[in-house]
Amino acid sequence: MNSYCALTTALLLAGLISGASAASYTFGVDNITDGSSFWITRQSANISFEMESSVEGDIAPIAVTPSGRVLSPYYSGSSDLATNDVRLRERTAALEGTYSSQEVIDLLAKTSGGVNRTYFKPAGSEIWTITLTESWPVRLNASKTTDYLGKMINDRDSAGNNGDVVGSSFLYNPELSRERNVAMRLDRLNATVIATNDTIISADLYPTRSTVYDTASHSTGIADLRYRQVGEGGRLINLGEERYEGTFDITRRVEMEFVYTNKTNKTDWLSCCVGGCSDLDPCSFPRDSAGIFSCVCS
Amino acid sequence: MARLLRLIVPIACFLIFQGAYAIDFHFSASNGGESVGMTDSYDVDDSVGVWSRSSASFDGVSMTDRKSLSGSGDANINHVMCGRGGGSDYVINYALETLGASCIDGSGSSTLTPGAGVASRSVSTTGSAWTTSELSGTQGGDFAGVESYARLADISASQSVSTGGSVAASQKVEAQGAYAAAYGQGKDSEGSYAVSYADVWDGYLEASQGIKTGNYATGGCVAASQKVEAQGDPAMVFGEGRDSRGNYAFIGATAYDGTTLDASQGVKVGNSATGGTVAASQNVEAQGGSATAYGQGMDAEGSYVNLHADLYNGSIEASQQVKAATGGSVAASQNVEAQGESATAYGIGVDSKGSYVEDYANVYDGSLDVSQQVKAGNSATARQSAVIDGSGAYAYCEARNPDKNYYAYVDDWINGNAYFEFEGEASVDDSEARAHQRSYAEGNFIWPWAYSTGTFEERFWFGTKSFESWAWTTDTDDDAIIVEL
Repeated sequence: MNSYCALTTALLLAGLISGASAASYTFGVDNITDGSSFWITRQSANISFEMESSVEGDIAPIAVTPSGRVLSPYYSGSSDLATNDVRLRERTAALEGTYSSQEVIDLLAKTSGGVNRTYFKPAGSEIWTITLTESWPVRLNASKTTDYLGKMINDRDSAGNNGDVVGSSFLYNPELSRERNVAMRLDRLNATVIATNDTIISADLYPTRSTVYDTASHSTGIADLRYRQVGEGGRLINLGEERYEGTFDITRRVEMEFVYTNKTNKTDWLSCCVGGCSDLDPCSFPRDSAGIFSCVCS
Repeated sequence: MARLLRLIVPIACFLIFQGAYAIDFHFSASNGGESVGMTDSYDVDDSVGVWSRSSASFDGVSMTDRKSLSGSGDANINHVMCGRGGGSDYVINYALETLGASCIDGSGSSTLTPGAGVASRSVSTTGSAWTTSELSGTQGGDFAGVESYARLADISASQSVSTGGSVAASQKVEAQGAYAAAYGQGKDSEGSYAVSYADVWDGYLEASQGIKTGNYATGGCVAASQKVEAQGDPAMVFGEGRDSRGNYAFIGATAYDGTTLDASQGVKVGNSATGGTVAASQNVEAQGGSATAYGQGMDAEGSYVNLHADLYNGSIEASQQVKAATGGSVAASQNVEAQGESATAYGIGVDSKGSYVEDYANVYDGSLDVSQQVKAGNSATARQSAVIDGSGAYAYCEARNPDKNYYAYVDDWINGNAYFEFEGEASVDDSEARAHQRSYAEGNFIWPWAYSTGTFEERFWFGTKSFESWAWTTDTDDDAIIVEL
């Protein structure tokens, strides 16, 4: 077993991503009156990355000098993929034993879609509406199988997608057989800030995304499984954490999706004030039901 | 002085009205070490509507932007756009402030790349207490900007600016009311500048101005031009330029009492590093009242020339040119055609030691057609050719060295049914002052003079006469002569 394989892969991956010409943008709103502010900075690039690997062998002592110096058997591997807040992190460390693994990673990120910002304040209103639309899609597919029998293995991973996280940790396992598939999509990011001349009323991020995390395992030792899903403005929606100590067969599929739909408030097709409020500024027309149905124009 | 005081308000405003705002919007994009961005600041009444859409693309980073503005009330707006990493960094700045407008309508667009930016803004306000709109660009120390200003006036201003190699700004302004002004300035990294300015009190103004500041390092020059139609009391237009060595040229025109003024002006300031010159020119037409067209040039050694064409109750067409060159030479010329109750044209040249020459032509109740040239450096010369037809006519050429008390003067003065054709010249330097004229004259009373430092000569004629006169003063001689032809 060449323990440098995975390590080399991780370095190469990092090198590829950092070597790409990174695009970034900054979007901010400062309210000078009360000092409130909202800023975001995002970074991505036109990136493609594909990797297929297969490893099978024994993690065993080897003599490295004629005099008989022997290296302790050990395997470690890690990978970090991250672009535009779509992340996959893997950490594996194993002591003496038999180890086999197959892995496929396919990452594609684009910045050709551009970023649009609008701000709008109707005449007669004090409300500023500032919106941002980022079309920097990311697709990350990763599948991995791991089989180990030996003294001990720690195998951990975490898939994150703009606030959503799914992951598992298999710790102190003398026996582990595992298959895991991750599919993450980021389609776009929308942000909406509502403000007046006096303050920022609200600021929300809406990344349209989906995450599928599918795992099946047979393990002896500790198995931790967790997920977290956030909604508008990063608000926590769903959270799960589980720990299994012993020998378990676990099958788990987690699907999370967040789709931002731009809602437009429709105006009434018929004003009850027709003929009665023709001299009014349209911006001061009644908006609540009481005002509309009672034809109160002020 | 009054004119200068009026200038202080709009000129001082340039890039200063960027005060307190209520809310700022920031948007920037970068890719591979290059970036573009904009910061938009607003302090507007609730009655003012604002819309903006900006798009950033990253295949070679760039940004486009569109904006609109509508409503009524007060608005204080600032847009700052910039580019970095594509050569010389640049900044484009827009500022709009209006108070108490009954109607505001504005729009704008911009395209930004790391090395070049283009922005345009249009705004019109009605019934405002005052409105100012400024758009300018700076790149590598070169600057070009335009500004419009209205007080108790309706105004519509369309402005644009571009950066990338050179910096250029232009505007078209239409305004009517108590006071309105249009101003443009270009300035290079060494301090050479060119200016175009137009204003009107109690009237209307239509001004198109263009400013361009070339890259100093690559030999670029600074230029300003404008075309103005105005009517008010007064309406004024001028252009000026000064290079970093001190050479200066100014050209201007003022019309009073509702006189219509139509002026086209150009100012060009050559690159100081390559020994450039400062030049200004104008074509002025005024009709219906009183007007003045004037020009001035001055070189770095202190020599200067002045031109004037004045009209009272009539019409005038004046073409004037002023040029100040590195190395000690200033020149000015004018062609004036005028008809009215009174019209006068004169040119003055003063050399670096204080000696001066002057040519002068005047008509009462009639027409004046005159061509004048003056030049000053280490010496001064003046020349004129005039045809005058009116109830009274007067023309002269004069030279004086005050240090040595050298003086020379010749003229022709006619009263009643006057007509004459006058050709004359004057010159002065360290060693002499000379004046000469040749005339054909008709009139009730023809009364020419000739002066030197120590001699005076005059004649009295009636009817028709052709004559020639000379006057001179030198170290060893002086005399004044009038000869019938």
